[in-house]
Amino acid sequence: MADVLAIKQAVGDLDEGSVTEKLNAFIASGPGEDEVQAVVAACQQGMEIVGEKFGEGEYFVGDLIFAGELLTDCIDMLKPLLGGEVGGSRGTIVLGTVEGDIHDIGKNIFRSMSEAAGFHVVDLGIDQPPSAFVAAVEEHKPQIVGMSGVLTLSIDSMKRTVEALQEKGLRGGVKVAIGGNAVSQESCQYIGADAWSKNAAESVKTCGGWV
Amino acid sequence: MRGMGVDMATLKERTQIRTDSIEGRIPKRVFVFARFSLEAACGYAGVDLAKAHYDMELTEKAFESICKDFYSDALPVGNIRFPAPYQILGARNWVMGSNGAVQHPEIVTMEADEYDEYIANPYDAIVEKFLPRACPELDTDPANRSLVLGKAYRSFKKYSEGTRAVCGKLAAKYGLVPGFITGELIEAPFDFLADQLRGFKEINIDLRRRADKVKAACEATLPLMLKRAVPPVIRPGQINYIPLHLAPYIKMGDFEKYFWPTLEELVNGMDKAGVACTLFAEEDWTRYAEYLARLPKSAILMFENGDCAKIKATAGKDHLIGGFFDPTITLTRSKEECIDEAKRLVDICAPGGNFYFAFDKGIMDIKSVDVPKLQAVLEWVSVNTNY
Repeated sequence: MADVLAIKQAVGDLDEGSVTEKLNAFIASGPGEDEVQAVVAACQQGMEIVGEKFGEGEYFVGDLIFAGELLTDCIDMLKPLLGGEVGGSRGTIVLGTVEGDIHDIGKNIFRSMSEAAGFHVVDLGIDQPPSAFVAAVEEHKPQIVGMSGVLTLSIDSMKRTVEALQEKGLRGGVKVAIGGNAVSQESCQYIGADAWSKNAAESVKTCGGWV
Repeated sequence: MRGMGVDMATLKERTQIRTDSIEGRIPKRVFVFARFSLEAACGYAGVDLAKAHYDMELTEKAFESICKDFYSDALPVGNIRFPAPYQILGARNWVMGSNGAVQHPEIVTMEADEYDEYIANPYDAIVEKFLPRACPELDTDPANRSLVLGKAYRSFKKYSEGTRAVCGKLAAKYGLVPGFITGELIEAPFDFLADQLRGFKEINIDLRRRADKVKAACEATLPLMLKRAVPPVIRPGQINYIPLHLAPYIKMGDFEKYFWPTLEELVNGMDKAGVACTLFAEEDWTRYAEYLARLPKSAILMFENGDCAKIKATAGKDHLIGGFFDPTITLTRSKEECIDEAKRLVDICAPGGNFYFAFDKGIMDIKSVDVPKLQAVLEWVSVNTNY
């Protein structure tokens, strides 16, 4: 039986050498599917430690990026033991960088963390107009819409996207989370979003509370 | 509105305030250095950005509307990201978004296993391998590569000289003096490695998987940056610009080992050669303020976010500092509250001198601000900050 707490902690510590060693030993022991699911969950819970350390100022954005990479590597190691499928879906998030802005680092961090937390993410990509968000909400019926932006011009694009959802009568059916360098409590209020954060892990936690 | 039209007394006063600020004397009042991008200027003037990028008359119309209507002692407009040369090069490192703004996307031009090659001979590796990856139109035979480069350079000269002429004309017409960016754009060696070669994501992975290579690559990059920073003929009053990028996103230990040493050496090298610089501290540099305080006094600092009181007490003691003011608050606060925020900043940073008023970053979209409130803030600073 794997020491799930030790795996969770090693992931939280971003100790790649220790994580790889532990997972290799676990895989070599020929585990059953339930055990593998428990280890996948432990890796996902390690992300919660990462998020806490980020919130406390011990970790920075660079650590979140590495955390996403580490988690992807872990899941890739464990996937073959589960016939290629990992976990179910806690809900759907339609995600994109808003119109006029081509930055995708923050969006990608949020994506990898929310996928790790069990969300199904429909990633629209960068520079997406309000109509693309509207079409994706109509098609995928998500619980959450995530908008990302680095440049100040993204504030106006986010506002227009919320207004477009409103006009189509879709706003009431979704929670809207915004993230990125451009956002703040004041811009959140101005845009008409439900939550904002510069901490991707915190946003994932907020989304978890919504579903 | 003040600032419209030139009179010699105003120009003289602005020049004196700027000189006093740079030379560490307490100026008559706080110097105002507002910055608007071409995108914001076009939005304000109702000019089509896509056309203005290629048309100097439209650029002038957009820039003039800002110079006319917003108070600033320094010329508040300028542009260095011209799409035409980038398009000729097929550049992947500077591209236009759907709204016409030229932006830097995440790209990787150097693979992880190419560090040694770069460290051994960075210039050759850039020219022969990485530049053709960043600019695919250069990835061709030598004859065509020469033609592409020639066309791109000619285009760059056309737009940069055109913009300089427009700026000179407007400065003369409105009595505006230069801000604190008059020279070359340089990057900290770590940022050059991250932004142009490895990308934001990969550099953060490299810091954990091949940190020794990162350190050696920064050291290999330093001479290239210094060469660009200190031209053979130094213009009088040359102030280079170093937009700092990666440091706020990494840990203190990594900053100390990998980011800071070559940046400090770069700024010291410029100082020794008689070239000043303005460092723009993107995001929050509060935790690095003690490091910035160690730089030579010729380094002018501009901050996006952070604890301005703490920064004033450290980096702001001997260095000229500015920034911090978030113009987007004008969208959600009353005019009085916006002015109060400017007053709060001035009350903390202005005593003792070494402070100029600037936005947290250049305004990129006019819709991200409330124009009358922003005008009121700039006007307030220009008349209420006497020492």
